[in-house]
Formats: sequence, structure tokens, C-alpha cells
Amino acid sequence: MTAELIGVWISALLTLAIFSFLYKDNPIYKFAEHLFVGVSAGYTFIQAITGTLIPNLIDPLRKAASGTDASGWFRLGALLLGFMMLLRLVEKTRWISRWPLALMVGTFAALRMLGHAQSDLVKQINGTMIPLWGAGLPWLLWEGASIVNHIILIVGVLSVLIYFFFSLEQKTPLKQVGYVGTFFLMVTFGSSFGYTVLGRVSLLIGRVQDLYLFSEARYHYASLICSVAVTGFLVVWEIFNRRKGKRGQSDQTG
Amino acid sequence: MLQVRVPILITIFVGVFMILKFFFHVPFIKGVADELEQWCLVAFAMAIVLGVANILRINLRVVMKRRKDWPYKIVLVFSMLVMAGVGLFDLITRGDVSVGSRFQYLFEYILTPLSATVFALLAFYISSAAFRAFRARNIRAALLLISASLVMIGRVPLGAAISGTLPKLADWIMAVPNTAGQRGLIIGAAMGVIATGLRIIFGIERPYLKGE
Amino acid sequence: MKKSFDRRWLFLAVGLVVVVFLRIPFRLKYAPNQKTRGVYQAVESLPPGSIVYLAVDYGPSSQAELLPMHEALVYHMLKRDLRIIAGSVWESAPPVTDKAFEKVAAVLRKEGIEKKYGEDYVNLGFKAGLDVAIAKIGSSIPETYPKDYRGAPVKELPIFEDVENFDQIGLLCNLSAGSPGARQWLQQVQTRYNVRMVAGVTAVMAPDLYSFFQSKQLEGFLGGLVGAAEYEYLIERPGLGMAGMNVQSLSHFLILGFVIVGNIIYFWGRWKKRKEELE
Repeated sequence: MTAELIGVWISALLTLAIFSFLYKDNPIYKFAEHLFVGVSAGYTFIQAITGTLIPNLIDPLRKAASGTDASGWFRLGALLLGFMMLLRLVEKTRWISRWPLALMVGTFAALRMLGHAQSDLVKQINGTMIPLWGAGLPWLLWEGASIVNHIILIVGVLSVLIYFFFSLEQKTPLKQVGYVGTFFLMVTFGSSFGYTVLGRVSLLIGRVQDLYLFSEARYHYASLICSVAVTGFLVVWEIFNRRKGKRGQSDQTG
Repeated sequence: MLQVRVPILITIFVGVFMILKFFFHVPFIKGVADELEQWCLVAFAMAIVLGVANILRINLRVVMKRRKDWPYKIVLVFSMLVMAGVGLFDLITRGDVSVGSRFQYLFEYILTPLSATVFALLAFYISSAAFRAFRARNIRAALLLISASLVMIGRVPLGAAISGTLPKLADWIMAVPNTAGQRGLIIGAAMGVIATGLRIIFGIERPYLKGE
Repeated sequence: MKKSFDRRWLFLAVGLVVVVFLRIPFRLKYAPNQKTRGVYQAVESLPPGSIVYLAVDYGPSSQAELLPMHEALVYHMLKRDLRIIAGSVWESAPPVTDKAFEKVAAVLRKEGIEKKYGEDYVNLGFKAGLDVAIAKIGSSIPETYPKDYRGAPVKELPIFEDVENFDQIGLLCNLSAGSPGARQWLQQVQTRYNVRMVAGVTAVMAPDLYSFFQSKQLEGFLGGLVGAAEYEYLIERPGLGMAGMNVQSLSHFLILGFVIVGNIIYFWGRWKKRKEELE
């Protein structure tokens, strides 16, 4: 219980320290911000070791060395490339890191190309090859396949693609079709904004729910006391800054 | 040769093998490609280690030379070393950093509230942006605003309480015109990725030779 | 000099609405859409004993949106006697996965249902490599994850008996907050191996996925906290999703109010300027 209680107080204080930025950039926010970066870096370092380096590099090499699985010796290549990556830290040997980077770039390029081709190109085009009439389609439905929905979908996809076609100078009628595409893009961006608002507000709701939890008696009203402390700090800091500002002005005039 | 030609050859070799693995289901090709993928995972993890080492180097330099905000950089370096140290200690003593470890404790009570709150600030900034920047200056801007408004009202339960049509309308906007626009963007972007991928694999574009 | 409006008043308004109305619940109507129902039906359609691969690709920054749906999905799956293999390509996801499993297992224990780590669910932990890691997972799960998050060899875990790749997986469920996420799983695994897939994403990512739902690459998806609330409604287990919906609704109306007021001020200013020019 003590460890949890200390943890809750730290969480409440750090949450309110970050929220203090809404008033103004201040020392308590800066402290929390730098703490965030430091802890994230340390955390990521450990996860890289435990998640990948140990199971995918060290363990196979260990098994190969003990004679359990000879295929582990192939990981010596990975070890070498990993070491070459670290040489990027030294000015003279920086060029050596190009080799592991080239491996990563080549792998990524190929996998992304294949993935996009299958999923984002072929399947999406396939999804646009839909009937515009007949096949038992109703005129209009709120959800699902209907004539109006399919017409709008196809017109929308084509007009947006034409809008982004920059290989030819866009003259009428291409230009008119591209113009229609911009209307679809406005609806797309508007929908994205609507959902973005939804998402951002949800994140705030989550933090406030946690602060309410931390304000309970079993946690000794952590949120309430920390909010008083942070507010008090901001008031004192603001008074101190204003006095410093006034003193600076009177030094200049006097 | 070693600085330019070899990296280009590595990219070509690896890229071609990944594509061959996709089209030829042959044990030798699969074996080589699988091993190259494992090397890539390890290289990626080492890139993370490199990044962390670089953060340490840059911030230590700021502290040594007493540049702007140097006291805060001490906080950064110290917290990084503590987090990494605790993680390594847990690895040595208990063999993992999962449930019940000190590492997990620091993650839950320090990293989680900080990370969550930094992103929660965005709710305030989006409200401010909505007030200051969202103007129906012309028909297209008005269309953007109207669709945003309908989606915002229609997707929440209060919208459903006001009218049963609002959620249906919001869903229709997402499922039809939004899908059309998104699909155009997705297909266009996919063509771009394929073209760029081919340029990289054929050694025409060499992003790994820059940034030194 | 024209004094600009201090935006901190807007911050205060938003903050007050959230703080005050989070404590004033009121009954709301839920109408889960086709996408949410798709996720529910996909889980319901799996026979007991089927394996679900739960790709958890988010961190604390998106926990408020995704943890409610994460817990609801895990609860639904374990209650239906499905088995869950969870893995991550986001480094901050494994502790969140552990926490969700522990919480749901405790809830199920109170309901008289016992679920064991290693038999009914497992957390494989983080794998660096973004898209490459995802492609590798698709190719062979035990080869990519020789050990789980607790350091145990996966081949020794009962849940991994006969599991090699996605041929043995009944459903791929991805929870993601960005890249790598749902799009990358669609590209590297779903399309390539023709796997049944559903997703739970942040609201920011949701508009993208409508295209993939229409093309039937996704059987359904949950978008943001609203999606989580709708899913909780379907499984009849109110949680954090439903708890936040009243505030979510009111905040949207508040922000809409800001937009309307901002536009009124803009058009009034424009009309005034034109009037002055004419005079």
C-alpha cells in the first residue's frame, strides 16, 4: 500500500505539473517535461534490449555456442551490423553505419512496397469496382450498399485521384472533375477534424478520471493537495517574476 | 567503394530478396529472407540504443558547457540513467521487467501520467484552434465545417438523444463521401510508395547516404 | 492597439465542463454502428478454444481512448473461452497489456471463471522493427518471439502448442494509436495471409479505416472512446468508455459553440469593414 500511495502522489503531482503549462511555461512544467524525456529514453532502451536484443541476438548466439542450435551462428552477421550502427557515434567511423542503414532501408522499402501494392492499391481498387445499377440494389440506404452510395463513392474516388494528377496540365474537363474532388476532400478533412476533437477530448477525460480517483480518501486526497501546491507555486512564481520585472524597469528609468 | 557502392549493393540485394520471398515459396529463399529480417530487427534495436546514447551525449554536452536550461538537462540525464539502471537491475535479479518489477512501477507511476497528460493538453489546444482558426471563408471551408459539426454531434450519444437521424447522417458521411476522399488519398499514396520503393531498391534514391 | 482574446478563458471553460460534468452522470442512448457490431459479431462467431492474436500497439499517451476497448475486448474474448496471444511493436505497450490481462482476469475470477497465464492468454512483449517486425510476426510468431514478456520460451507454453503462424489464428485484433498500427497490419499480414481482422483505433485514425471496412479487409472496427462505449453497451458491461460519454457529448457541443461564436465574430468583423469602406 505504501508503494502504491507514493506512486499515486507522484502521478498526481506530475499530471498537474504538465497541466500547469496551460497557464504559462514555468519551472515545474519544464522539470516534468525533461523528466518525461529522460524516463522515456531509459524505458525505450530497456525494451530494445529485453524485447529484441536478448531473444533475437544473444540467446541464438548462446545456443550456437553451447551446440544446441548451430543456425544461431548466422546471427553473428546481425551482431556485426549492430556494432557498425553504434560506430555512428564516432566522427571518423560514421560512414560504417551506412551498411546497417542500407539493410534496414532496403528491407523497409521492399516490404512497404509490397504491402501498399496489395492492401492499399489492389484491394482498394477492388473495393471501388462496385455495381451502379441492378443486382437488387436499393436506391438509398443509410448503411450498406445502395445505388446513390455507390455512385457517390465512385465519383468521389475518381475525382480525388484526378485532382492529384500532376503529370498533365489540368485543363477543362479534367480541371472541373478535379474541382469536384476538392469538395470530397473537404468532407474528408471535416470528418477527420470531427474525429480528432473526439479523440483529444477523450484523452482529457481519461486524465481527469484519474485525478478524481487520486482525490479519494484512501489516497489521502492526493489530487486536491497537489493542485493546491502547484497553484500556490504558480502564484508565488508569478509574483516573483512581476517584482523582478518592475525592479528591472525602475533600474532602467532611475 | 566501401562508403557508397557497398551500401547501394546491400539495399539492392536485400530489397530483391524480400520481393523474391513474396513470389517464390522456395525454402532457400525463405531461409535467407527470414534471416535478413532477423538482422533488420537487431539493427533496428541497435538504432534505438544509438538514439538513446546520442540523447545522453548531447545533453551531457549542454550540462558541461552550461548552456540554456542546463539544470533541467541534469534532470533528463539522471532520470534516463535511473530508469535504465532499474531496468537492468530487474533483468539481472529477476530475469524480466514485467508484472511486479520496479521497472514496471516506474513506468506506471512516472511515465504513464506524464505521457498521458502531455497528450491530454491537446484537448485545450484544439478548442482554441476551433475558436480562432475555423472560419467559413468560402463554400469549401463551409462544407468542411458542416461535415465536422455533423460528425461531432452525430457520433456522441447526446446527438442520438436529440434526433435518431443525426447518428445515421454522421455515419453516412463517414461511410460514403469520407470513404471516397480517403480512398483517393490512399490509392494515390500507395502509388507514391511503390514508385519510391522501386527507386530505393534500384539504388536511384539513397537516403542512407545522407545526414552525416 | 487591438487586444486579442486570451485563450486561457477557453481552456478554463473546457476544463470546467470536463471536471464538473464527469461527476454528473445522465442516462444516454447508444446506437452501435455497423463497424462496432462487426467487431462484436467477429468475436461472437469464433468457436470456443479459438486463438485470437491481439496486436497491442499503443502506449500511455492513448490509454484513455484505447484501454477501455482493450479491457472490453479481452473480457469478451476470455468469457467466450477464446485464447489470446498478445504482442506489441510499440515499446510502451507490454506493461499496458499486462495490466489489462490482470484486471480482466481478476474480474472473471470474481464471476467464478478462472483464466491462466500461458494457457488462456500470453503477453509476448515488444519487438523492435516496425513494419519488418509485423511482417516477421506474420511469417512465424515463435521465430519472431522466441520468449514471452516474462522471459519464458514460448514453445513451452501450452497456448503455443501447434501455433506457428496465422493459419492457426482465428482472428487478428489490432489496437493501435498510430504507425505502426492497423494500416501496417492490413498491409503486411491481413492481405498477405487472408486473415480475419478487426481493429480498435484512436478517433484520429478511425476515418482512414472506413475505406478498409468498405473493401471488406476489416470485419469491423472501434473508433475512439465512443467505439469503446458502444462495445461495452453490446457486451452489457459498462466501463470507462460509457463513464466518459456524457462529458464527451457536452464537450463537443461546447467546442461547436466556440466554432459558431468564432464565425459570428469573423462575419460581423467583415461586415463592419465593408461598411466602413463604403462610407
